[in-house]
Amino acid sequence: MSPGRRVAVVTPWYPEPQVPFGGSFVRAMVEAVAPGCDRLDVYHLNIWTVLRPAERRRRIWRAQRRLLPRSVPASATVAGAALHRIPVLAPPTEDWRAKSDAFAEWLAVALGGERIEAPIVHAHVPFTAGWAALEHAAPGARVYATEHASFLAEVLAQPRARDRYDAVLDRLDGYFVVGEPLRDLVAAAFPHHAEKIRFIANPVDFRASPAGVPRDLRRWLSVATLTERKRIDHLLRGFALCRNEDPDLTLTLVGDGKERPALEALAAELGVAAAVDFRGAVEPDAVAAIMADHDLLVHTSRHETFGMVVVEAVAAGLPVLVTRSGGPEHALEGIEAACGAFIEVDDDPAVLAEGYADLRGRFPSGLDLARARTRLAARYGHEAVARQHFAAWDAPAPEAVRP
Amino acid sequence: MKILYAAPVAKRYRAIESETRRAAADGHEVHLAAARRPHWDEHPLDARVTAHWLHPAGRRAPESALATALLYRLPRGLLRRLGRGPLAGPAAGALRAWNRRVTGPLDRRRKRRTAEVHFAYRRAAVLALIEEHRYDWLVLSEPGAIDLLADDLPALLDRRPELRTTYTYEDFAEARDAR
Repeated sequence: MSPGRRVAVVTPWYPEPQVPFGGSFVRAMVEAVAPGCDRLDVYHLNIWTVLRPAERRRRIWRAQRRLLPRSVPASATVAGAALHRIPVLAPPTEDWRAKSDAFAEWLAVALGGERIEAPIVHAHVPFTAGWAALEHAAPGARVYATEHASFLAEVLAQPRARDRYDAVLDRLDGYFVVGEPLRDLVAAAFPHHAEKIRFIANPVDFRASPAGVPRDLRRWLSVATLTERKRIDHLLRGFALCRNEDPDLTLTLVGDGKERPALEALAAELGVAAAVDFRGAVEPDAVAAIMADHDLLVHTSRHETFGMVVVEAVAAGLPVLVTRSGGPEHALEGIEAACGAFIEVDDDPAVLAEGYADLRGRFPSGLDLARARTRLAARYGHEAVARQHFAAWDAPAPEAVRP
Repeated sequence: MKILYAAPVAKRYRAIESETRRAAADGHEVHLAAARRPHWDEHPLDARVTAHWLHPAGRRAPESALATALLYRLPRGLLRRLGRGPLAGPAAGALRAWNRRVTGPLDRRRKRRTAEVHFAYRRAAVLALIEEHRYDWLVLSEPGAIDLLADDLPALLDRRPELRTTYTYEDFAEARDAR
């Protein structure tokens, strides 16, 4: 690390052995900015839902108050940063404001009555970790937050949660979103804060050269959790339709989720089970090597706040076939045709098949993957994203620039 | 160091497998107290990890034989027999009502009492391990672990202030220094 900045990152998501890809974009941010910091501490506020009656919960909470301050030593994470895993005990609840309070409550206990030491605090997800950071940052510290949450509309639909979000926006020194859909949502909900909203990118690793060269777009890849929002069932239907034309197509599904048994059954029903490899969850570090063995990333999500995997695919030298799901249009702005093709979010598998036929017709001469990669590296590469953070953190405080 | 990795519910089976392996690889003596998960049939735990499976098999809340006969067997048998004759419709309705109003609440109460028996068994088993092995380090890897020891932790920490406690096993700087 280089001298100058002391930073704390507060986040509800960070990779861990149980969910190795969860919050990998936060770890990527840490990896990008840590070399420019004197010290960087990550506070991973990990929600632990406690399904017990209220009386029992009181006893558990009492024990945890005793336990927590003595049980969160720092461990090593990327780029010399220190990591503190802090369980956030909470009963099962749909009340987002109560969840937000739980984050602040348990961070306070973990800090043992102290404040977060760093003069710069950057939170991910303003409503939960951002609120905790604001409540426990040291006096005079500057607090920033980046919004990534795909469920933000659900949060803002609750009046008490919406009021809390308004207060968070008011208090933050800087507020960032990772894509246009979130900017539109927040600006519409809080027009008086619209001027405060800034874009900041999720960093993607462009440092290694692409390990493989796509051959003929026959080896499809999806890297997505197996959940309804990712629409893997539609991907399977579209894949089956395309495979009727070309029996050599294969599809690898990287990711896991509760829909997996149903999706495996669907693949069998569609007669493509032998061509579909359910690879399960993998370590984030393994994804680049898997991409190198494929020709095309197909991403069929209904809604994305950013669409990080799409940028990662371009970084790995893969063309992409991706739905207009919000974030990816913003992420790939200006290089859409150079790196692949967009398709509409449509349940008709023919839409995916037509998009694939169009892309295959243009491949390889109609694409310019090298140019797309260079453009995206300038926007989302580690150095570029670190510069964006440093520019925000190092800007003079408003008081300092007043005449 | 001698570590007890407590995961009585063991839902985070991937983390348990990976963290206990790592602890053993780091030279610690690792004991795992957990419910056994099918995941480990295909992804075996590290051979150096001593597993203490918390299986309260066969332990149930006591049931009165008289109550079982009077509230379950007799009325249900009678209504099933009636259900085979011309009163099939009313008998089926009465059986559903009996199950809903009488045996349903009783079953829920029994289930709750059995869960309490299981909890007491797991708590006693883990406390016995702590007593017997005098661990240096407790990893309380899930809310269930804190729940299990919630009533005992304050006294344990008073008695053994040097006992290390964490929620994960990771590359802790302090632990590295202690090895």
